[in-house]
Amino acid sequence: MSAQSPSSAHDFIGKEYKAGFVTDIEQETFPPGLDEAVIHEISKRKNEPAWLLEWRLRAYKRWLDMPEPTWAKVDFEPIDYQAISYFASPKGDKPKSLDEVDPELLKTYEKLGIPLHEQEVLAGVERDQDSNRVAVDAVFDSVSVTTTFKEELRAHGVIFCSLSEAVADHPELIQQYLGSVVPQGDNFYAALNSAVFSDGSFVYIPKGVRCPMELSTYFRINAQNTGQFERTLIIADEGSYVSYLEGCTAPMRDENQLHAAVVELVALEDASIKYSTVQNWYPGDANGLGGIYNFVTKRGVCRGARSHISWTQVETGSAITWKYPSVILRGDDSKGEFYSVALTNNHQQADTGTKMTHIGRNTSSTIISKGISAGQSSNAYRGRVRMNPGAMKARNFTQCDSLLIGDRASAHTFPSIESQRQDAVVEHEASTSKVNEDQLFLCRQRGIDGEKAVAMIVNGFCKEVFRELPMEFAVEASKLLEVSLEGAVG
Amino acid sequence: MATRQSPLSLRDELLGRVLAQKHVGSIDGSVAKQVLQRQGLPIPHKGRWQFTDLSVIIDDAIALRRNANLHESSVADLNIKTSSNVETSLSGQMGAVEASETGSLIAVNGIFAPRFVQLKALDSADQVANIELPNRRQLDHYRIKIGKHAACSLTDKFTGGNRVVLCELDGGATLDYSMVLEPTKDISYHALVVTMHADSTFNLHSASRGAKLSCNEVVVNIVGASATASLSGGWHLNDHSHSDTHVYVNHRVGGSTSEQKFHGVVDDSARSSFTGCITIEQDASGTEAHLTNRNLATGPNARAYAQPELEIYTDDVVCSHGATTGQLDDDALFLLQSRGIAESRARELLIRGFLRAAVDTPEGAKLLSLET
Amino acid sequence: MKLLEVRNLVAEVDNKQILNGVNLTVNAGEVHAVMGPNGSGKSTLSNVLAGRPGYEVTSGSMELMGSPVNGMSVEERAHAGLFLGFQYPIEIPGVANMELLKNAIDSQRSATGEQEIGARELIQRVREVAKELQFSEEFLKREVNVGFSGGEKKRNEILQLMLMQPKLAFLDETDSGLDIDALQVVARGINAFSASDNAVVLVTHYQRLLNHVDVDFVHIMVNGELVKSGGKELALDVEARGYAEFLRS
Repeated sequence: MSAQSPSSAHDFIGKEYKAGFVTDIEQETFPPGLDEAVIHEISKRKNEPAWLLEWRLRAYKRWLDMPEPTWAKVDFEPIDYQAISYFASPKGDKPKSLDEVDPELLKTYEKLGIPLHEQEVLAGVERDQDSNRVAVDAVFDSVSVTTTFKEELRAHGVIFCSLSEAVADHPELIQQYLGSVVPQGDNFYAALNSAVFSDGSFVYIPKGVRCPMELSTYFRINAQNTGQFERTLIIADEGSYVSYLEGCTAPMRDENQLHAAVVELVALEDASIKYSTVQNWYPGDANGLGGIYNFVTKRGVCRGARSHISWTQVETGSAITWKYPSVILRGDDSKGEFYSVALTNNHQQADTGTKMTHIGRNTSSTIISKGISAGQSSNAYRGRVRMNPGAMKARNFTQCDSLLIGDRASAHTFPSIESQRQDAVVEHEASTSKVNEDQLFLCRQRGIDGEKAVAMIVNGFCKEVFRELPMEFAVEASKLLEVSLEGAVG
Repeated sequence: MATRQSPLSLRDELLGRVLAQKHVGSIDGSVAKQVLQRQGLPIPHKGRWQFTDLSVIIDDAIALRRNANLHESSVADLNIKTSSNVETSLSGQMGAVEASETGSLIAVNGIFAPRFVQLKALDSADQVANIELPNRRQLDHYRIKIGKHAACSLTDKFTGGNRVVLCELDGGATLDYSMVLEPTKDISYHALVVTMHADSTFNLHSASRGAKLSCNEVVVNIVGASATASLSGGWHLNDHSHSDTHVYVNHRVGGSTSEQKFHGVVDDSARSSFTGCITIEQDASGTEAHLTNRNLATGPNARAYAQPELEIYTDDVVCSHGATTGQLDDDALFLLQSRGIAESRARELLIRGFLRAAVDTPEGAKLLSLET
Repeated sequence: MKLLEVRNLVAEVDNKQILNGVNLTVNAGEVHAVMGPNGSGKSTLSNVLAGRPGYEVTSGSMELMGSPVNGMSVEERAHAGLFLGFQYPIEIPGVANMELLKNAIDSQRSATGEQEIGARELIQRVREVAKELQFSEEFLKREVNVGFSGGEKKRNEILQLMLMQPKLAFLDETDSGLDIDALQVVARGINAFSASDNAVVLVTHYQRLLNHVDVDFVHIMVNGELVKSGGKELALDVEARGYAEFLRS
């Protein structure tokens, strides 16, 4: 038995949402409301060039004319976009080194198990080799606090910094790629993000470089009444490889907070991007009060031949999740993957899935989605696989399984297959059932109590997806699943 | 974008077009009108209607309404063939079922149809009742009731027009429904709504060659326990024909099973779309429901779309769906060719085998040239 | 010491009465065989004893280690020392064999206030037992019963038995579907487990397992009752003449 086994009893962690604390720190927060002046102010704070301000304002104008999407199977009171504050940051100038960072902030990340000192590693992981090292960009509300291992990465030509820094230091890359995958007017939330995005991460991996360590961004919402609108851009140049991880948490509050992010991935010829997310935003309480609205647009484009983009997500948090990490398979022989575990409990709602758009020849995509609905939650998979007329011999395989726990939970599957190509092959399979009673009986007969047995079986159900995660995230994901399921088994 | 009408305003305009039609027939379409006003029309070019132009169907219904023969006043004029244990009558009233349960396009038919034809297979009859609906390009509206413990075999051949058939299966009733949608250069809209009470059995066998624009809706509402619904169908489309099949199976109470199997072959520049939605409501625990949809694209410009959907609101269920689009199996083709069969013949054999798996009636086999 | 006492047990499944008054006493150090034709209620007895949901006791009593099992959950019965060997061991995709074993042993230990088993100790013990049962190292990494042959699934049950060391093992048709080599391996495992402080009940259709395991008592089950009890010779009797004479009575 390996030390990382997720379900040995000592791994068991407490019932409550562990990341639900508030950091007491002096913050500067814009008053609620959104207009052109606010956008000017955000841009000014970030010392942005004129073209970017113009870009934001164009997005804002588009946004004003767009309707909020209503097609997802989620239900919520209309959001008052004038009641949200669009910028919050810890007071003072950006710290130049870790020594200048407010100790309260450092404590926050320590509590969350996020290593900001380069000699540390992610919590819960025995440090053995260099291969375990993870570089972290820590985003606190609207700003990036620090980015670790920057210098070492720079030696390999890898750029890993906050998006704001990239705007200043690498304007040519930003101008070339920002909005190239998710255009400003792509959808309502993406347009809003394009207008007001604050910080996020930027990654550039040069030609032929295999990124020497995992890169990660840890997003933390702390301020009240504030939306988080981060934007991440990853460019993998020809023949390069990067594995990128993303984690997120927020305090427990009775209000709903909006998180509308945009992530763009660009993979050039023979490049490969592996993007993993463990999403643990505050889900609201057992009665459905509070929680984050996670309305996120994530898309990657396989631009070059033989490029490869793989999304893996474990979604256990948020009151509402609206998220479809997608791949546009433009390059011949390119490959797209989507592996997803979405767990909803209590009153959580998730509408998540992917779009695979096959344009190039011999492109292939794989979709594995595991949905678990417990309590009174609603969990939907929504997917679209499109084979364009030029997608010679394109292939897709989709497997979508749902597990129901309790007779008031609901599970939905809405795939769409659009084949415009005679020699393309699309296969979709889906199943829905409750936890197998015979499996449960076997575990219980061996003395394992019901709740633990369900957690084990559910973990097993998700194994195909967890396998895709980097090891430390897989451990985290298993634990999260177990905690999120508590109270679901009656 | 700016010059094209938005889907929402197109929808409003279509609705206005329907409601503006003068009422001239012998029936009272006011209940249907209320249904339509309440439900509205689906949004054209969106979701389930993204592949079929809704306005074409609406305009065709309006045209059929203008040319409807209002002078047929007796059952005999309608040329419906039935066995002696079936009662037939005409009605001018919308029934409760239409008002509460049916979709918007069915309500459009309800507003325009010159008459409603009621048929009833008598309770507990010794003999299987037979019904054969006449095939004519008209606005037809049938209400068919299969009495308690009765068994009925129904043949429904259709070559374009606008037809709605509402069936109600009483406790223990059985309905074998053979639906044959013949090829036509016209517009074809066909809707079948089946309400199933406890212990009833419904078997649908459908076959279609597509039309200039063919839309085929099937709605099965399971409202009684221990009901069994089995739906199968095949279509073979060529030239520029179009076929859009929507199947909704709604399990409202538990302990019932449904099984669906639909296979489609799309040749030349034809277009096929299939939407199959299984809904299991909260009171329907103990349900088993399955759906498969397979599509073969054999033409260079063929388009095949599939949207299998599951909506499940309780946990004690066993459900699955699967959908594929693809081409003929190269290995199977090679095997047949290695036995000396010419490629074109081999393809034909494989296509037939593929369709036979979902088409099991003589009428269907004839339509799709599957007879051995 | 009395490990199991079943008195006038009547039980039903899906409102259908399957057990019609079963009486059975098992003491420490004993090996019993319950034999009977298909549908006689043998598997029902095992499941009722283990508390499987859907199996209703309508009257009579069962005591494990001197305590009534009535009201005990499935897990509690297991903690009390009951082990059910499954006739059709189910596959649990994604859950590793080792994970199941560790959780099972640890829950047993936590019920009795013992410390969890260390990973090293567990691996060592599993290796020993696996060797006896002719499982390869590879087996330790595999998911519970997934992709196992029929014989491997049954050997896996015996592996769990030997590692968990229960007081009372109720083995439901553990011999079915085994070839002769696998049968001998399974029998060796049962013999190795059997000791003066525990007991084994073999539920079986055929006598052939009894050629390899020494039994003290044989009971014939027909129509939900134990109609005859005796020594090992009773099994040979059944083998020679079938169950017909019991069915008639």
